[in-house]
Amino acid sequence: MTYRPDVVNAAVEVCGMPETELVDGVTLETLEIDSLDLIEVAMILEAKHDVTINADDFEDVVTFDDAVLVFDRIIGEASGE
Amino acid sequence: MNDRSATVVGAGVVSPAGSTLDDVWDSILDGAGTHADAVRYVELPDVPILTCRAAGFEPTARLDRHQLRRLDRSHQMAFWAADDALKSVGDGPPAHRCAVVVGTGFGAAEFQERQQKAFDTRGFRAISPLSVPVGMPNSIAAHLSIRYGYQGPSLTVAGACASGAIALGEALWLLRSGRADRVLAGGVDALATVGVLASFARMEAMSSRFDDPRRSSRPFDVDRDGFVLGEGAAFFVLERSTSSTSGIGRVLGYATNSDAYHIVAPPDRGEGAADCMRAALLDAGIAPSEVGHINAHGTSTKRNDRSEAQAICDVFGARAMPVTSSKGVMGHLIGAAGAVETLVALEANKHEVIPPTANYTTPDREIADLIDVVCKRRPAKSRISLSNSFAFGGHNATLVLG
Repeated sequence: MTYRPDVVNAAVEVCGMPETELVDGVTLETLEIDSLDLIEVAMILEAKHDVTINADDFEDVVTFDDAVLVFDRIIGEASGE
Repeated sequence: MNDRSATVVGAGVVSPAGSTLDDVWDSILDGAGTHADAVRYVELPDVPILTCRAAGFEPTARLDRHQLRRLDRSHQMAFWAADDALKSVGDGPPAHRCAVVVGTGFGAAEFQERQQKAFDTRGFRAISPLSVPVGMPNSIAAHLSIRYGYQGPSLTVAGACASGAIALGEALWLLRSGRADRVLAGGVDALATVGVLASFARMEAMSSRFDDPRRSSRPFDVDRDGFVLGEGAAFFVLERSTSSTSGIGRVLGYATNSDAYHIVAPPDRGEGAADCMRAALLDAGIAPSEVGHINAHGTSTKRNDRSEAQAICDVFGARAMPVTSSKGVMGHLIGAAGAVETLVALEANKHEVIPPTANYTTPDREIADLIDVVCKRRPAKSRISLSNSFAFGGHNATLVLG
């Protein structure tokens, strides 16, 4: 399953952009999401899903979709999917 | 008068007396009382504390959610004041010739306290990755330099309650030494946090007039019982004075020194403060007789007010100089105090009016024999004033303004 809705909510909470900007293929650079924002997004998801997410996990992330895939993998593994 | 002055070409402010130049001046001139409230914090249910919160400051009107989340209240106040200082100023020198100097006593206190609480309650992973970039002392100066693209020196001075004045003095020195052609300088502190307030309360340095907050800050009055903590910021755009430079006033001279005496108490006779005023006058090339009034540090504490009065008397003569303190209205803005009070002194020069010292109703004989405390607004005899700032740590700073 995908946790995209949770990631979107967290990104909107942290970065303040409208949800409509989080379209397929949009880059983090375009969204002005930097590494510190990403850690803050991760903190929200950590608290919600009781997982540990590290900055290293996002090393190769370029687009918002890439970030969603990382969160899906980590949260999915932790929940035994 | 020398030709080494800096012209204030723009100014902006956030304060308990308002967050526009006109609102602050009207409120100070009115002098009706302290803009304070007695508050109780959940963490300190048995200890009421007086604070002066900023009025007319609406950060959500200017900053988006992302910026609000990534900045401490002190950054937000600095942005507000600096934006206003720059909005009426035309394009300036090249970016590498523009500098920033920020004075702050504590920096991002509210943010840091929040992080400490998160750590205490939820552990390591609850600490924000922004803790360092927001909490580091230079953070506000760095953010201002980024916001306006200023690539010259970007400095932070921490001189406790004299920080704002020292920042303006450093700006004057940057201009005189040719290291910058424009300086955005000022002071800021937003310290109405439970940790800071409790800390000052434990020093018993704050007023406990909880039943009458409007009368709580009473500089030089015999019934003064401590200062009231306020929050605010003032920022100025300074450029070297030339025959064609116009602005809202000028910084004519500056001096700073140290008491080297005690970490929080001034010497009884205020020798360091007196030396500082003399040095600032010398720096400005101004004789004591040319000064129209002094905007005193005037905190409303027993020791500061007595010591400062003695120092002023020693420099200008007994009761020779009209003295006012803005803290009766705004409380003590700590790192912002010297900057906001500079703004008040510049307005007083411009209007040739000395504003009253709010809540000065009963003279303290020990002080009244030394200085002429202004209790009702009166005409100023000249457009030159001094702004004094004295700090924990023994830091003294005096600006000569014209």
